[in-house]
Formats: sequence, structure tokens, C-alpha cells
Amino acid sequence: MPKSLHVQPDRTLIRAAGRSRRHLGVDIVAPRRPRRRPVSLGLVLDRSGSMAGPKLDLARQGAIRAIRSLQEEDRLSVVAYNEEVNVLIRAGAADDTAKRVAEHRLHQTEAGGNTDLCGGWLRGCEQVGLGLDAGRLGRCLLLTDGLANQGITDQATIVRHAAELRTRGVTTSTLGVGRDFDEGLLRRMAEAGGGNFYFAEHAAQLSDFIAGETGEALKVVAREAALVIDLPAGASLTSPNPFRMRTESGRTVLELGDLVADQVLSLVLTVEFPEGREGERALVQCWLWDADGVLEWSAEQAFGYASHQAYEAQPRDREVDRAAASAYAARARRRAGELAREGAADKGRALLKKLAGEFRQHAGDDPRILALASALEQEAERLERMDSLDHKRLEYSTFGTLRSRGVDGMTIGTMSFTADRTLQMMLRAERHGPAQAPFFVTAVTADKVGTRLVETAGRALAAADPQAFAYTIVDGAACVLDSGPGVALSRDDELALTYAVAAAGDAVKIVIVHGVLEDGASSHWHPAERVVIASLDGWDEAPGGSAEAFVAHQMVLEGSRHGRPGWDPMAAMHTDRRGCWGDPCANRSEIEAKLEAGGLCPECCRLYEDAGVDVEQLLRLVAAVRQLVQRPAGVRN
Amino acid sequence: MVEPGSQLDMTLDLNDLCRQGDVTARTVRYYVQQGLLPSPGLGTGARYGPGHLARLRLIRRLQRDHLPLAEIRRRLEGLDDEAIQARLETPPPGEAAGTNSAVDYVRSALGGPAPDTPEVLGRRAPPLPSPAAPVKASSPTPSRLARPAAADRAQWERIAMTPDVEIHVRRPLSREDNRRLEKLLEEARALFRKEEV
Repeated sequence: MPKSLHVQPDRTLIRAAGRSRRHLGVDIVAPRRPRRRPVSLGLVLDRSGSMAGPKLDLARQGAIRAIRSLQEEDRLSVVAYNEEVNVLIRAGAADDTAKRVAEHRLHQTEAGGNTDLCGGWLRGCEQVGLGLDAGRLGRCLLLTDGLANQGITDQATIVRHAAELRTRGVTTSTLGVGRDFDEGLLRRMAEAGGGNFYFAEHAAQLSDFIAGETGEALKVVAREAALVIDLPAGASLTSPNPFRMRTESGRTVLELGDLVADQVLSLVLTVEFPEGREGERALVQCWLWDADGVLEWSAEQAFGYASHQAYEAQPRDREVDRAAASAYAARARRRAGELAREGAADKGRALLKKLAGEFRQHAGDDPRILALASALEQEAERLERMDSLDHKRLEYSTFGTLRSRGVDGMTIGTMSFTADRTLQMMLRAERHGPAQAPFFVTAVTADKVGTRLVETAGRALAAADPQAFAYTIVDGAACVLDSGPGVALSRDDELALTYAVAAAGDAVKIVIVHGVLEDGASSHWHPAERVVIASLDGWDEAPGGSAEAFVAHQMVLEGSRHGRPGWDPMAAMHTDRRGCWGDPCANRSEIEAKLEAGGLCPECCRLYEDAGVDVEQLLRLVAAVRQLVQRPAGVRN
Repeated sequence: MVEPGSQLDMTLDLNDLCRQGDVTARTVRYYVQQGLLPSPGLGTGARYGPGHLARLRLIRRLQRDHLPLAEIRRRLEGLDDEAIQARLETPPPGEAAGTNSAVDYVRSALGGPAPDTPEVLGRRAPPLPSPAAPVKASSPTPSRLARPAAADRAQWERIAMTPDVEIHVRRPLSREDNRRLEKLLEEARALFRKEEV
């Protein structure tokens, strides 16, 4: 199984004398193929007077789209409320009859009256609960455009109900539309309720949000996921991300809620370490947990106690610094907004300015963190003038930032994440070999095994001709989509990986995966993206094994495309066997035999020469690959 | 390493084991690979016994306590089938006390179950009240949801002055109050128009 829990520290040394604080960036990628869980879905629609017109029409449309996406094994209920609560559809199987009745009732629903938000929502949760049984997801979506002005209106009570219902298997998501609802209440309900908060600034967004939220419920792969963290003695943990945190027999548990297939969740952990002795290590271990045992990933990070000089001199990871700054800024902005609404804008302003000051002090010359500091300062000045719409936008955007949700309000999937990751890693990846090498590739690996293979192959090629070959390793960027050894890599995943990797730079890229390509081939060339996906399946990955020769062969072959846009090494292929790289191969042992015979026939040499390749150089690289195959296993590393 | 346990009664195939243990096949294979479950032998004909199922259930329970797999493996080491069964029979702390369901919780918060409304599946639903047709309460509502006594034929109207200010009116109003309201609205509109300029 590819590893999809990734932990990256901002720095790895901690002070021996005095406490130190370290940030850890944590990236979680939920697995792709879900064993779909049946859902008990409750839709709770506001039909107070102000919903009249397009708002109610669009809410209706969204509800109908959501209902149609359910299957018979799911349970459906619909509640409409104003000052009165009407259960339009009682919890029952989402079969065709129930769906037709639900649509009919929704069409009959008209707007009027006041807003008993809490009563409507609780009745919705009751219905979800009635449809709940073991292994089923309970989700209630509350839609409103107004303030709770009837029934239970105390916010603390409502939020407490949401948290209580979450522990009883009913998750609450909230969707506010227009300018008149209470963004603070809806956001807090969603956070306590383990669900999501949406703000439809325009009624037109309603339908997509309702359908999208339901779609996510149907793609949940891990229920009630939690990140469990084991800290060294005396250390303490906080996080700017608003997930409920509790301590359980010495371990810290961060409740992440349900994870959707392919969902990417990035969060920041801040660990405060006690003093220690120089040279000692402190270990932070974490693992993912979920109610169904789908996630079995763990990760650990060691920190070393060091002298003041070594501590001050250590490099820092800019990406983690930025992730931490962005999360803490979002949290401060949200708090400042709350303070402003409570009439304490001066306190909010002070909070933002203080954080901006800290950013300026520690950011060095990092342009992104400095820009964040300026944004906080500007927001501090604007705080008192923010109107109701600004406050809603603020709550919604900070919720998205802190919970890794995209601009469309939905979870972020792996493709853009991989592209972004690859790009970040490429910017940091080191180029090996001469600047003007005629053969050049960027190798994107899924893990340390792939990286070691590329390094070994690269060293062998450099030893053969120091001027001929150069390469860059992007270590681990392919991990989120690689299916793992012996597991089929679907065509969809392969294409997603290709597109994601292609986004980063112009070089020809080789993605080295462990998954099995669908047609069983060793590699696939994607000409439009100039990306090769090469599978290690069936090659001996051990040091000295055949995988090293295979990787080196791929790197030379694909590296010959560098700077020669019209050239395709496939042109130098023939149908007869000549002990040449152009020989046809039906399987791995034939490729191995070809590499071991290792040569280029005169015809292939001429084709390479016509393409502008220095054949002498190429032959030296081919010979280096031959040596990798021929040496006895385990002799060299 | 895990003891293979009783081999006498290997009646379950992988699907049975997954269904009864509420896990996926992938999870079972992973546990076998990690040495948490005894290997069932190779191939598609692999059989599992009650010992496997009990062990699987105990693993799941320990996992629910957020224990890492390495720790679970350590705890299972040296336990025979009987010891595993004994552990499964002790209820985990907290679970015995039991928590009430979501339904009970809502009913205690709202003082009873949802009232029977005409909108019950299977019957023809009458149209929901519209602003033009005043709301008629269809049945007594539970205490916490109760509206003011006079409201059973009433309906609230929201009159927007600006996007931020609304006046709420419960209709019907007496003729006298209606006149006062008209006057109030006129004044209010004038006031807000002036403010905007």
C-alpha cells in the first residue's frame, strides 16, 4: 500500500538548553477505491419567508440532485422548517418510490414564516438516527438563510447538541445562503458536528453545494478518522487546525472526521519540547486511525538535541514554515472576526498585528510569509469596517484553509495535490551531472526504493561518461497515486499521475512506480505530456538486482529525447533480433537478455546520429547499462 | 509469532471472515502479512477458523482504543485462542455503561418524537402552506417547539428595509395596527432612503 501519511518538520534540531517549538507539516491522502458505505442522509431545508423565490428553487433542485444520487441501500429523510417543523420524508430506504415522493413533496414546499433552525435541524438528525444502523454513515445537511429566532436559540446549546449527536453517529454539515444567517454559529455547528460548512454567497451555488456534500458522503472511505500522536516525555502538542483534540492514555488524538476517497488533508502540528541533553533524540510518532481499519499508515520523525550554535545554524524547510504561517494566520483572522462581531475589534486588531509582527521577525526574506504579514496588517486596519458579507466570506475562506478544502468548497483531490507537490519538490530537487548534458531526464519516484535505484543507475552512467548524462530526482512525489507492488495501477490513476507530473517543467519525466501497468507493459510513453510511466513490477529491486539496469536503460532511452523534440527512440526499433537495444521484447526476461547482450546495431546507430545524438557517448552509456546487468547480484551497491 | 491455533474447524473462506469480522480482504491480508493473524495457507482456497475470527475481533477492538499495530501485535503475542476468547468476553471499559442513541438524544432535547404530520410516506400530501395561505397547525406540537397560542392561524412576514434591516410582522393584524404599520414602514423607508443618500 503506498504510504499516504507524510510528516515533514520545519527543522530537526531542538535546543538542549531551553524549550523549543517545532512545526510539523502533516499530509494525509485518503485511499482511492472505497468500499462504499451505505448512508443515512437527512436534508433539512429552511422554508422561512426570506427563502422565497430563486433561493428555494435552487435549494429544491440541489436536494433533488442529491436524492437522485442515492441508491436503494441508502436511507433518506427530508425535513422542511420555518417556525414549524415538517418531516416531508421519514427515514426509509432511498428506493424509487421514496425518491419520487420526495421530489413531489419538495416541489410542493413553499416559503413563509420564521426560522426555528435548531428544531428543524434536530428533527432532521432524529430522522437520520432512525435510519442509522451498524456500519452506516449518518449525515445531516442543514440549509438556512436566516437567524435562529424561534425555538432553541442559545448558540452554546446548539453547538453542544451538534457535538453530542456526532458521538452518536450523526454528522452535521451546514450551508448558509445570502447575507442574513449567522456564519459563526453555522461554522461552529459544522466543526462540532464533524461535518463541513458552506457559504453560498449566490443562490446559484446552492444546488452544487447540496449535491456536492451528498456526493462526498457517498465517497467516504474512512469513517471517523483520527491522527494519533505519541510524544516524547515532557513535550506538548497544539494545532492551529480546528479538529477536536483529546488525550487518551498518554496519546494525543486529533479527530479528523470522515475522509473521502482521494481526499488530501494538510495540517500543522506544533510540538513544544522540554530541555534535553546534547546528542539525545526525541521521537514523535503518529499513525492514522479510522473506525473501519482502512488506514494503517504510520510515520515518525526524530528530533535531535543540539548546542545553541548548531541549533541556530540548521536549515529550515520553507514549505513547512509557510504551511504553519498560513494555518496560524487563518486561525487568527477567524478569531479577530469573532472579536469584531462581539464588539471587541480593538482586541482583534491587536491579535492580527501581533502575529504579523512575529511573521516579520521570523520570516527572513521569504516573500510568501512577508506577504501574509502585510495581508494581516491590512486586515487589522479594515476589521471594524467589515460588513456582514465580509464576515461570511472570512469564516468560509478560513474554514477552507484550515480544513484543506478547495475554492469550490469541496475536498481537494490528489491530482492537483500531486502536481503542486511535484512542483515544490522539483524546485528543491538537485540536478546531478553537467549543466549541458546531451542526455537529461527528471526521474519522479514513489519512495526511497525508487530513489535508490535512480541514484545507482545515475552513478553508473556518470562513471561511464561524466559529460554525457544528467538527471534530477524528485523523491517521493509519485507516492500518492502509485498503487504499490503487485497491485494494478489503473489507467485513470496512470493518466492522473502523468498530467500531474507533466505540469512541472519542460524536461522529459520518468515516473518510477511499483504498481502493475494495466496491459502488463514495463513502461508507457505519454507523448503529449512527455512523460514515461515505468513499472518496477517483476524486476529485482534489491541492491545489485536487475531493476537498476532497467531504470538506467529507461533513463538513457528517454534522456535521448532531451533537446530533440522530434526524436522518438521508438524509431530505432526493429522486428529482428540483432543483440541491440532496438530488438523487440515481449517480456521482462527478453528485455533483460537484450540489455545483457547490450549493444547498438549499425542501423540504430545511424538513426541516433541523424537525430543529433553523439553515438560514441551513447555507446558508453549502453555499455554502463550492460555492466549493471552482468555483474553478479549484490556485489556493488 | 502468532500461534496457528485450532486447525480443527477451518470452515470460513476469506469472504466469510471479512463479512463476520466487518473488514476488507485487504485488511485481512495486511494483518496476516504483519503477523497479527496466523497465515491461512496460500491460494484462493485458504480457510479460516473461529480462532481467526476471534483474533480479528480482538484486533479491531484494540484498534478502537487507538493502539498502533505494533502494540497490538505485542499484546497478542503468546495469547492462545482461549485467552483471546476470554478477553473478548470482557466488555471494554465505557461500553458497558452505554450511551443513548441519536434518536433518544433528540427526543430528550425536544421533549418527544416528531409529531405525526400529514406528510407521511404513502399518503397523499397536501400542499405545504404558502405565504398567501396562512399556516394551519396540523397537530399539537411538542412543548419545546410550541408557538405562541394565538399563532395557529398566523404567519410572519419579513419586510426588508435594507439588506441588513428587516421588520417582522405577524399577520393578521387588526385594522388599527395595520394603519400604524403602514405609517411605520413609510417613516422607516424615508429614514433609510435618507441614510443612503
